[in-house]
Amino acid sequence: MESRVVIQMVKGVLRAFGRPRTVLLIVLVLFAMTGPETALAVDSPQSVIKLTTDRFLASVRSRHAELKADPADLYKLVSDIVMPAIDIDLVTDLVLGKHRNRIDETQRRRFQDAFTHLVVRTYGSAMLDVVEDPNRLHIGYLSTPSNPSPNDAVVRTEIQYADKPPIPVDYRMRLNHGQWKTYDVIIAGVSIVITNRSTVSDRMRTQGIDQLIGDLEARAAGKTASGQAHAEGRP
Amino acid sequence: MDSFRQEIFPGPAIVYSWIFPALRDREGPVMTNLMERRATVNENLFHRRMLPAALPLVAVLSGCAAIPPGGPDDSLQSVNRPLYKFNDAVDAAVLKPVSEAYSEHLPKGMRTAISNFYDNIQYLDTILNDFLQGKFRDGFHDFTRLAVNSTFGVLGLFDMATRAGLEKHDEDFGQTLGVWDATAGAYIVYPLLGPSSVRDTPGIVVSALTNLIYYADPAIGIPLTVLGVIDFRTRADNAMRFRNAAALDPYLFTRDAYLQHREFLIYDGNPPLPDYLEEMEGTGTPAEEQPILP
Repeated sequence: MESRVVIQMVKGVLRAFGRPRTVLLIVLVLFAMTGPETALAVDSPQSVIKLTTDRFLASVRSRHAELKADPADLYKLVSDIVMPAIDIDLVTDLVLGKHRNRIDETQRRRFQDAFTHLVVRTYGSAMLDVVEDPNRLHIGYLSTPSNPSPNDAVVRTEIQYADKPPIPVDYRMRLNHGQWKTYDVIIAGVSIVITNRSTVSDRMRTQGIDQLIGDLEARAAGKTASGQAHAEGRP
Repeated sequence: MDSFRQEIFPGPAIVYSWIFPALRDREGPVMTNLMERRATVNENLFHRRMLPAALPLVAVLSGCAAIPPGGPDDSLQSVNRPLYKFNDAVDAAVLKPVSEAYSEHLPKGMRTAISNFYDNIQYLDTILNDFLQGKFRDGFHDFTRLAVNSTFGVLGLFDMATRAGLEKHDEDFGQTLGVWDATAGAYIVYPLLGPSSVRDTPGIVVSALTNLIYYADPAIGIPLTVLGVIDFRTRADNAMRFRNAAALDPYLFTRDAYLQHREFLIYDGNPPLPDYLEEMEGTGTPAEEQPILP
């Protein structure tokens, strides 16, 4: 399509000037302009999601017998494959909201570490069923609405497992240092960031940051002891 | 279809005046142009009666996400939390074990048929609210769905309509109120019924009255209702397991998930994108730095 545009422009210029030399110059300039753009091309938001999901599912498929036996490995897989595609700094900022300016560096680091565990567990537990029979999972990529801004994008997907009704899952993505990363996942309208932000804001009001971090860390520690227990039963 | 709805459907304005008698328009006969009518309603609201009272409300609502940064309206939390605990205890003691036994002993095909049956027998609620929201095409679509599934689908046991390309919709009276701009109001937890809100409360009655089981002989109706509850709980099982893994505070998680999902349904799966990224990048501005008043 780009080349068609170039030809159109060339034709227009040709008509205007009628001089091959000028045209050649303009073509050269145009090439020079498109050059760096193609060199800087980044993976589109959708392909980031697709690549990450495909890689994750490929690992789950190849190891699904052992994952079924020990879900802790599943969480490890999430940390290794999925987490690099998540902008956890931004997620932490969003979840802390206005409180992020009111805590010190150490508190922030502890919060982020513990919260990262929660994100891993959230994603992993959503995948626990899939481990049973990974081949019955279908992910449809839907047409996406126009981006809210040049470095903010939405990727719409629909996840269907076995014969259950499809669940819409949207990803919010931000372009940061030439890479699209996810900063929110919205499952059937339920945003992970907004839900957690609300909890954090409530806890900050009633208990303060240290108790909140303590709770988060306790949960993170409990997860390594028995991932299954958390996924199955109410604490 | 939106303009269709806005142009000719007077129903919801009537609904509005049931719910908010103060807004009842005194100008006379039912207007065919609903937008005009709603404008009149708004004029009544803002210019004659409640301008001073309504202004702060408008300021709060104009951001209009399901969950504002400070959290949703949960002024009833002190009542809601114990009720949530109660529901959770009932669930752990009765519903969860029963639903586990149910999904263990009944083959999947049979469970699906039972789920289909309940979807179908309560489908009048969706049809009614399609029309109340002015979605005429959906209303006829869903009526056809009900007819197809009740006949070819053997009393709804088989979802023939979806196979024929008539996909399922999800509407209820709470959504209708939302479509016509009522805000959610306070979050409410009802004993046994679970999460709801002020806006969704009338919908509980409407759903009960449009559920055909309600009109059945108690000898059939009661066992059918019991099975319906088991079916409902079994279907919610995945969501509940997800909650247990993801939630730092299950009460707050349930509340926020409920309110956001309702917003999602009101917008038929396309709620406006919240721009919390912008919101955050815009922080550090003087407005954000101001101390928050108690």
